[in-house]
Amino acid sequence: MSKKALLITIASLLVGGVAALFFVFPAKEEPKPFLTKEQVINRIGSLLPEAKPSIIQDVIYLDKTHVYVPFIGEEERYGMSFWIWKKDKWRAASVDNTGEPQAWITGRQSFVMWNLDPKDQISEMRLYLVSNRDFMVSEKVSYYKPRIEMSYLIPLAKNSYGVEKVPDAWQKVMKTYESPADEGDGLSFGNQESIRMGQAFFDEKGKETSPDISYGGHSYETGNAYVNQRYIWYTEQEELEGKD
Amino acid sequence: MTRSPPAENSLMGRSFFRCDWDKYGNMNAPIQVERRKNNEVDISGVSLSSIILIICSWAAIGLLFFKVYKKGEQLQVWKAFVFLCIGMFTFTISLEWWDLSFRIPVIPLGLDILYAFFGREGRRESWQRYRRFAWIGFYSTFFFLAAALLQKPLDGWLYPKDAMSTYISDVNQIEVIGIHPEAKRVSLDKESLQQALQKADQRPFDVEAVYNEVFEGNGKHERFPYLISGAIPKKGSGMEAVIYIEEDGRGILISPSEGHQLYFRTEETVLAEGGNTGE
Repeated sequence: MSKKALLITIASLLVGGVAALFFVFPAKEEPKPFLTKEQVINRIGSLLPEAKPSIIQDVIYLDKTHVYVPFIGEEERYGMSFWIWKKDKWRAASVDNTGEPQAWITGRQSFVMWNLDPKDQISEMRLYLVSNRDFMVSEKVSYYKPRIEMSYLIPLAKNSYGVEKVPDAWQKVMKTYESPADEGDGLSFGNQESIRMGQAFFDEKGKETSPDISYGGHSYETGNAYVNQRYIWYTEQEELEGKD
Repeated sequence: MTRSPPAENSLMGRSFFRCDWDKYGNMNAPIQVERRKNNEVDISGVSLSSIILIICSWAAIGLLFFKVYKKGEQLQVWKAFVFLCIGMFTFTISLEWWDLSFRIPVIPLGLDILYAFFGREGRRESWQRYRRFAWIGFYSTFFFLAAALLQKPLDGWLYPKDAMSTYISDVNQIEVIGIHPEAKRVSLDKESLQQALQKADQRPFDVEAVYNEVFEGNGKHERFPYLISGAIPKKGSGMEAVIYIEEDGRGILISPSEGHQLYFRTEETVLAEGGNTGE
């Protein structure tokens, strides 16, 4: 190949390569500012009419593309809404007119969010990470699985709503359990039923109680729920091995 | 009492209502969307031993091919290659022996086809010149069979199942997390663990007995209240495991993804006091 042809070939390969990179790594736009309060009210109203907010309590950014908006709706119900920036729009991932704690995994972090009716008079909350003790014996496989019971105290502020990051250690435990190690027939630690999150509530005297008013209500979940949700079980103190 | 478990089949993208229910889960259990974590392709499970053996097989084929090619006169590479490939075509019987499945070549279909085609008058010459390549093709199926048979023993030699070091390749990458209320505030004594990798001896472990022992103590006590996070197995072994440490720091329980659990005891505890167990 002549020198000229070689140069042209190299140049076009470079240009082609750089162009290809633009396809592989498209420039991520910064999300536009979040919706105004009026917009949120209208959107929620159209998705879940009974939850139509009268007061937007706060707009909390979990990260650049995930937003939590607690609100007070009709009949003074305390509710929650979760928003996600996806494909150039802010979309409602889910709306509830109940405020019981929910856990969301936004890709990098896990958060627990709640909006508890003050009439329930909850002073503090405890989160638990629990996995039952178990064993199995067979010809090819045997194991003993210790009990996992980790707890995390969340004192409640004067606000009815709040967000708390799931402790790092918990994320590591969940990751260890959900690793490729459980693809085999041996252990099936990784499924939801095996390791689960729990919650318990206490009044100002430290007595176990439950937010009956906050529970019960309606929920709407759209197909935009690209966020993993992790169910949090109500946990009674007598189930636990530790004393709080 | 806990709520009944969420339904397995999630209703993605559909609106649904949770009817009023109480905390005990009477009425409809709430349905939550649950997506599997991103299904990344995980190649850490591809074993080094199968890669080695396959490379050896192909190397052997290549070597034979080269030798025969050199011996011949004015042979055309592409023709030789075609004979080789067709020769590889065989009728095999699949067998399963313990947990190994492999195929034994029984009838050399490729060879037969080539002979039928080239054996006639006008093409005898081609057959004479290239038939050896077809035979190499046939033999190669036996190479692959040998590779399949040798894979497990090679794996066992490279990555002994009973050695702790197979499951923990680098002590510096791991940390210890207390997973039970009884766990004390401890951190990992890395040097001690490094020693343990060589010196610890394996003991028999009766899983049912351990489980019952806890139950008899009213189920309030956990013998293995520490979990190891971040353990990476030896590269190419695919031996991921969940690893626990006993309360006195001298017992190490390894739960591999396949096979039986392993229990080791060391003389020196691998736990050091203080530090956060990350409660």
